[in-house]
Amino acid sequence: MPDNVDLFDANFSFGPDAGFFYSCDFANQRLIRVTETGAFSGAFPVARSTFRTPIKELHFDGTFFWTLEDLPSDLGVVIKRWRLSPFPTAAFPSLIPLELRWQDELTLINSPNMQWAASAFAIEHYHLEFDGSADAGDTIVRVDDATNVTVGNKLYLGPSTDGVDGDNEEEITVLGVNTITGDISFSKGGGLENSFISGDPISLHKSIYLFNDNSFGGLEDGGGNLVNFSYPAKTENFTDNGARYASARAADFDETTLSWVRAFQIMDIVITNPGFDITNSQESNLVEDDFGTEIEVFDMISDFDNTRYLKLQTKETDEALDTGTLTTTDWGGKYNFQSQPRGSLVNSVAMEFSTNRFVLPQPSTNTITITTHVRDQFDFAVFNEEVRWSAAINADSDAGTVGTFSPNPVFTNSSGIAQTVYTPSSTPNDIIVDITADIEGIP
Amino acid sequence: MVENIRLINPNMVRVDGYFFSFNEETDVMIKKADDGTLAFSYPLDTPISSQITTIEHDGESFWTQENINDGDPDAGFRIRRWLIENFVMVLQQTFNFATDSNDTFESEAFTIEHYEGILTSGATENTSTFNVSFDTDVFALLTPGTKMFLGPSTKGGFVGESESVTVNSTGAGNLITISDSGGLTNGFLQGDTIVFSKNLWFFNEHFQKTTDVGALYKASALNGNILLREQGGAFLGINGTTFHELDSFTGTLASFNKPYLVFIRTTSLLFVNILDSNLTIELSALQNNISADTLTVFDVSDMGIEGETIFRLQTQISINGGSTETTSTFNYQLATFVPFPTAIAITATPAILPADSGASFSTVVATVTDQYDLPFVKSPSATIIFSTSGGGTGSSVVPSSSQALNSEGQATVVYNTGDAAGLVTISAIVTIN
Repeated sequence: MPDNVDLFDANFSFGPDAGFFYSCDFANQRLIRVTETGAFSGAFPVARSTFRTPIKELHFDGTFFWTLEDLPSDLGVVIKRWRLSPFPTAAFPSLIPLELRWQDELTLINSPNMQWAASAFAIEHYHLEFDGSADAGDTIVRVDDATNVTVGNKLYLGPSTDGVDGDNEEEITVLGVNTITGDISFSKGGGLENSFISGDPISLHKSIYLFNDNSFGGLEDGGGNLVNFSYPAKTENFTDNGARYASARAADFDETTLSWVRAFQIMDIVITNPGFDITNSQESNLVEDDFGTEIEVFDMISDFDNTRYLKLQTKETDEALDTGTLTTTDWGGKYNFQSQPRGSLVNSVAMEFSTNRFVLPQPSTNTITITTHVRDQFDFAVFNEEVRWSAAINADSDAGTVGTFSPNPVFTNSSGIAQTVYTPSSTPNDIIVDITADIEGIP
Repeated sequence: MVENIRLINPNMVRVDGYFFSFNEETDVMIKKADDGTLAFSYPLDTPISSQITTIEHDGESFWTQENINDGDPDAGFRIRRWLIENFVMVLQQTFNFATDSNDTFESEAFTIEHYEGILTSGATENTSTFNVSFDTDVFALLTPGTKMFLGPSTKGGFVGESESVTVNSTGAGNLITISDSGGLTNGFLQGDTIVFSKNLWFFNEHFQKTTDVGALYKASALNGNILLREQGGAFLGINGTTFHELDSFTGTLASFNKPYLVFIRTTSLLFVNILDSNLTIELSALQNNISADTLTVFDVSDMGIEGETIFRLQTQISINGGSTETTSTFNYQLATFVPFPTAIAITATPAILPADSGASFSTVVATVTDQYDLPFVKSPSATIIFSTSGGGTGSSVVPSSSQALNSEGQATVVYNTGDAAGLVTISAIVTIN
């Protein structure tokens, strides 16, 4: 994948305008908007606060932007909530946003008992829609899914696409919820200020997940800790210890899934799982063409509508499908995203040779059974993939003739396994043979 | 091109066709295919601060060895047991071997003695007893408290499930009674696999407090208690070792089909019979981790075994007597347990003859040996053919056609003199069929 958004800062997110990417520009203290090809299309200076250090991650919950930055002098970290302002309301319609206005923040100060070191956080948020229209003055709205709505939550309604109150936004505080019908009552003098139609968006944020590199004991031990803060109360709901949370490079939240990048993997936890077990872990193409060096991810977007993650990187590795050759591209300090699919793809092919990798040139009696394992990026077996084996004389070998495979090809079984038997040629030479298993022509 | 798995850490174990290696920089265990492709990785639930020097797998758990203090190898080391749980490597146990008043611990090689067997009859869920068998007679090692690992199950309703249990007692007919409350969680069928680990074996650069003598230590895999120390120069400077139950030897080597502690010392793969109280080195196999000029021995930082194939982890490789290639990554070089000819020694009696056109002759004997320095007999059959150069007209060997090697790996020909004085070279080529 060639360069795309060409950002100068190590953060990005979707935003209110579909098809655009947003990034916090530390040098110029602004939020910028770019197209997928990196074309600059807008800027919003920060207001009522500043970026004191470069933004490490940026998220958008449907209404608000959220940032993570280190406090200066190793004092800790701060998560800030921002909104593009002004925005149109019933009282002030037809406004357009001019700035990125600070709303609130969660400041985590280092102390002898607690050290914060974080590069990743996520906002538990939900995208709802109006289920049917709602008129100005109504005191009940119906949403498509009220499962995650609880009394006291603030819902951010709009922008409206109703002809009268086009683009207007407003907020309500939930008084009651019927999770079966989706009816939500709220307290607001005069009811709704605007009219909305079915399908208009509603956003809701509930909590903050922060990946601390240090354990809950607060020591700088790399022990890893996931901390959840309720929001807006900012109280600590729970923590989950484990080095799987340490060195988290980036994180995001979509639907009910918390996702994060750690080393070479993207891992998911469905937060409704009471055991907080990891739901998925997938190898995410984060190794350079030396097969060992980690490619760092600086920010990520979980884009489940399009069954993908977007990883913000300064390098990427591509694989030539015809040869399997890896090539790493370095974007020279600029940040671009690489997509990682959520759907299963063949990711690795491994071979076992029974009982030996050495065979004598006696075709009638000496053979090797080759068991080939085909797995996807989740390390799950891949069923019904065609495996085709081939052999070639190694460049360091004496001259000779390779043997044959039978059967060839073979489709993988439910365990992702395909087997063949290699029969050597009668060549008496001491030869080295490279055996390759191709999946649909891909080595 | 000698690079294959391209590991950046000097530890490797081979399991089910993949290579596993720990990386302390990212605190993950990576899983790679033969060509170095990263197949998966598992974050560690407990960070590691020192480089892992050895990784082993006992059929259930991964075991690692690391220095307690990377800057001071004499400070000791730790051995840890890990399990994959929910996509994460979860630390199960840590045994610290810290230098104390009795021992100076300095080691970069260890292995876990473990045995694989099968259930000889089905075992239903909730049962507390089942029968087992092993290739090697190790039933007596199943003492109370020993942890066993059953599975994966092939029984309907439990397919793929596995579990750990603790031995309570044993009885006649290789009967196992477990102490786990409620018995087995899963059901198993006859033939399903069981494994158990018994002891840790590590090579120490010190025998107790004595420096640079080499020693082999044995410790309980249950609690890390040291059970045995054996001094020996052969145990010095060991980096690569593993445990393996040999079972594929035939003919004269069949008597070596037993469990061994296998380790590399310089260019020798040595086999210690750990069921023998004398810890005898019973077998030695020549390895090719050496430069073509035989002056440089390549370090082997770890090793693994799959079937009859040995994987030696190295950064230097010479193939087919070619020049030494050095890589920035760790890659495997292969060897095999299967005997193959490594040397042909030729003697001629007498060695000096007059050039008298056949009036004098010499008996020429070729002895073919394999990597174990044992007579190479057949595999499945081998022939040898002699040739001569020099000596003038009539200089020849009889018979001139190929012939079979005898049970001593030998073949004999008669050299008949020619009509020219000078050096005569007699060569022999072994062909394996």
